[in-house]
Amino acid sequence: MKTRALAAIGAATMVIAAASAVGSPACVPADTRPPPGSLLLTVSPSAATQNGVVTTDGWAITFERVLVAMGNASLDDGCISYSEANYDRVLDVTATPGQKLGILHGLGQCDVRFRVSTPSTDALLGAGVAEADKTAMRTPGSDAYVPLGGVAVDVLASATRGADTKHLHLRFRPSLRYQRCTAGEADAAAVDLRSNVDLTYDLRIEAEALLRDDVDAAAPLRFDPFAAADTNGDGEITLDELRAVPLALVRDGGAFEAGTYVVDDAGVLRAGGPVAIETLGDYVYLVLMPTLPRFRDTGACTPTVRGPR
Amino acid sequence: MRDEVDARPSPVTEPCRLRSPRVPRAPHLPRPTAGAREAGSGRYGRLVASLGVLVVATLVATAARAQGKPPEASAPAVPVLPPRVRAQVDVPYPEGARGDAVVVLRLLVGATGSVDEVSAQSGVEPFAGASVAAARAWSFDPATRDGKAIAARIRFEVRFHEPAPADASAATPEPARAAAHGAAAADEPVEVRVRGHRAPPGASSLERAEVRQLPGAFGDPFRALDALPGVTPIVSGLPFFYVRGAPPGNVGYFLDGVKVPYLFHVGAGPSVIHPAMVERVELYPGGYPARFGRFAGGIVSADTTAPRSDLHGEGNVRLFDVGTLVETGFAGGKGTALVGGRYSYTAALLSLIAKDTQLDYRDYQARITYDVTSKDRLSLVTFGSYDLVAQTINGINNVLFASEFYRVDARYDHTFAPGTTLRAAVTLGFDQTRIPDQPRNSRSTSAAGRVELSHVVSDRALVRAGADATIEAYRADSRPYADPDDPDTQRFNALFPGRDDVTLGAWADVVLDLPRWQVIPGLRVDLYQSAGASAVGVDPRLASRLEITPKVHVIHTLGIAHQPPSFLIPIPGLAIGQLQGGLQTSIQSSAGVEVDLPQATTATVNVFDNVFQNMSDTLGVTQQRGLDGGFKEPRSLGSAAGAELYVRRKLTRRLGGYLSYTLSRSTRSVGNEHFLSAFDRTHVANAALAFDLGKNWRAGTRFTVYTGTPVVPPGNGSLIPPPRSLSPARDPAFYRLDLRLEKRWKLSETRWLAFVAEMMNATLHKEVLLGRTIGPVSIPSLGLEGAF
Repeated sequence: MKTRALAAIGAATMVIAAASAVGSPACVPADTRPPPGSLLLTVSPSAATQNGVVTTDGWAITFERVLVAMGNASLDDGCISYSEANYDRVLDVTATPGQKLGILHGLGQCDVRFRVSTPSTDALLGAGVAEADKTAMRTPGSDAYVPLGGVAVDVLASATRGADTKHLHLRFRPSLRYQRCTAGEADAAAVDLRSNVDLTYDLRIEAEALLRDDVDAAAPLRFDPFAAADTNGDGEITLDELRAVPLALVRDGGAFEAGTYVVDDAGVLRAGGPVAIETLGDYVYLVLMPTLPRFRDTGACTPTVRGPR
Repeated sequence: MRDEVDARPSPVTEPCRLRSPRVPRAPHLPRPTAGAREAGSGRYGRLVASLGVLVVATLVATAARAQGKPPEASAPAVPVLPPRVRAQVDVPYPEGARGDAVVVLRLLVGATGSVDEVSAQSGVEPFAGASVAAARAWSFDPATRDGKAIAARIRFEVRFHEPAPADASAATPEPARAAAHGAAAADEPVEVRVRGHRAPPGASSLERAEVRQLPGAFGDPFRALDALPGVTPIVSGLPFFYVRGAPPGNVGYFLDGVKVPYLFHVGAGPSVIHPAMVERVELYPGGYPARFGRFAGGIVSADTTAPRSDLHGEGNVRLFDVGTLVETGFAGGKGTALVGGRYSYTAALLSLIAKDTQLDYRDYQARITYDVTSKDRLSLVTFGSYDLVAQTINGINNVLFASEFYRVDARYDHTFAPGTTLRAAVTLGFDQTRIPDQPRNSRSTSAAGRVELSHVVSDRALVRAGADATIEAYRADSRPYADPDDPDTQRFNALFPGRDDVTLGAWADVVLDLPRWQVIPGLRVDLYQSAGASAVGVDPRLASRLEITPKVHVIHTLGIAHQPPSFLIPIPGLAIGQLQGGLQTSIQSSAGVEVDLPQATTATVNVFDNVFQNMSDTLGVTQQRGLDGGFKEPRSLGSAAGAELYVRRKLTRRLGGYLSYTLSRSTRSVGNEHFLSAFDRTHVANAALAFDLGKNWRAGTRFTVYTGTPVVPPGNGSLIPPPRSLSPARDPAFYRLDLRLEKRWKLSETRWLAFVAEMMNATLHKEVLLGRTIGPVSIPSLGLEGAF
């Protein structure tokens, strides 16, 4: 009898052992994916942003600070994304070229996306940026275009021609999501990530784009309309002063006509939309500012306004 | 409402003791000789069986009140008489057997006096089998409570004595027999324990047999919890909930005293424990017994079924999974072995319609018990669970979610004397989860020991005490392919550091049965050590049940509970290690009235008031405020107050149902901001009806409705958000209707087969949660169930 009992216990123990084996520890699979490729996104100033530029009308422009809050870089569904950079940074792009934005890991050909918007509470600070800068950018405010929001881009520049010196301080509050980045070839994927291959792509910030006659990167830079906007003569040019300048007066060259516009799905500004662009302020804020980032030197990304954060 | 009672050997409730009436000896039985009555003296071929009702009868009252007072309290007021043998109960001495033997049977004597269930609790073959076979034909005068017949579970001892050779030759060829004649053989009064199980003061209890009839629960006791008062759902169909204002992370789950990391497969699927292994589930929304600790919200405690030595089992086949559980005895009934589990074939199904998606879950349970002596039992229990959700993209398998946990619990139970028991146990555990979006595995290995003692000091006092120690080692893989500057990664590493946690605890309480008043004072002390920080939690508890009339009781609970910081929801292998921020503390109080109504209906009304300090309710304070993956631990103050109504008539009756309603208000304070908890729902109501359609058809319906969640003012993203309000607008209310239909075929006395069709949210109603429309989340289920 004792033998049978022991046998039964043994059998039952085997049953339990078998049951345990069925669900033996470490069933959760290890990561069996092939090694991905990586993409390091960096941010650099254009030559004009870093060294200054002389406009076609003779103004010597110096960008003293260009604070840009940007990040949340990601890959689209076209490839297999291993990791994204779901965080943002506050960068003074004039400080140094090649500042890190984020690292993406993945496999395949796909689009690159990133965001320019009010910094988050956890935004990392780039070279020359203080916590006070982030706090100031996060302080809610309003302007003619954003009823309540923080600051995404803060540009401080000075312009000199002869004895005249003007200061330009513009704060932009929209939240912009950039996608469909191309480096030149229209149908080419933004990035081709291959296993164990590390890439570095640079996003160039062209602050001088605010002074362009047109969205085209080759358009001439002019500062006279800005200088003329300083109607109170204090040397400080504000957004409100720019908004007091009818666009027809300063864009009589026909580069851009006042009217109502819309940005279509391809990112092209088309007439007939709900957005009124009637003043120099409208033009700078709504049309030119989104063109600041460039993808890999000459490339571009399509901005989409997402509203303030 | 409790129509049946079970015979859990648990000493948790102090039994009342009755002197059973003496049962007349069956006149046609020979009076045993003195020699025959002496153990081992069997000189004559027919012998004796001294059949005693050994004990532990669990009397259940068909008309007993489910949520009523516990047996210990009710016994003095309600006369209970045990079952009595109605006719001769002979057990033939097995042919070919040799020697003397003792078999202890567990009988469920129904309200009609028939033996509805029988199993051998101890004894060797072939005596055990012979006893079980004979017992099925026995007939009793049923037990009564207050004059009404009730079902009762009792233990019955059958003694076999080998016929003496001389008598054997004389009697040949007739087999020797052992007569069993109930209490008649016992000239001394018999002690009977009444165990009509009633939930402890302040607790709500769900039995599996009843939950089986609850639409929307899919036969799963754990899924029925959200139908109880005090429970506020997060979203319909998701089995995570707030309990009296406490978030899901503050609700602890226990199975036979062993902590279970989570209850449901893939977060929202069936439970990780086979329902057939669960005898009952009790929800302690606050002021729980001192035995439970380290959770500041509520306790969900499940008891497994008592071991049975007769071969029995249960199985089910459904659209998505198959489950089974089988148990049998060995070593003549001294031992039992149970194996159960569930396997999902959703992976196979999905491969037909969505080849790139993988959904897989499975679980197992096993238990071995062995009675070394009549007072010593060794048990080994193991259970575990595994979930996987993955997607294949371009030939690469991406794990979206994976989780597993395993437990092995070795127990030793010793009975010093009736009512005085000791349990010593050691538990080993392994938990692991793939963290989505990271992706990496986080795991914990644990070892725990516990000792629990229960001692009946007198008829008026039961002392319970225990101590335990737990060591848990948490480790997480380094995040692969990650941007090292990503704050999410750094937050995760800071929130879930690799560490070894040590927790020590000791507790004691006393169940005092004063005249018309049961009071249970208790105290629990826990010492926590984690990542260089330590903390002490001192938790006094008090529960009281005062009898106003035999059918009206006033119940109070009061308690303080502490808990280390907790994550959004319980996740295996993932526990916050921020003890340096202090323990979460809750002060819980409630008062209520239980009333036994006519027609076996009970009603309970409770009011409660909970205060939470230093709580880590990320879910309740940061919704729509940028969770950042949830890897944050904002501390807050909180409070919850409300009233609960629970009217219930057992669903297993021909016509049963319940109404559960909770009116509550749950607030949070962070800094100077005071606002409603993100999942505050003013009204939560559930109503269910189950009815017998005849011809073994049974139908049920359940209606659920609750208030929408508060609308958070449209924020400015991560900018300083506008303050939240204590009287905000709310999302629309949600309601849903669940349906259930069952056809059962009774194949024999113990075997049945049933077809069950069930649909949660049959009206396909959509829910608006935190401003977003969800669903409709509807779950259909078709299945076959059976048991033997």
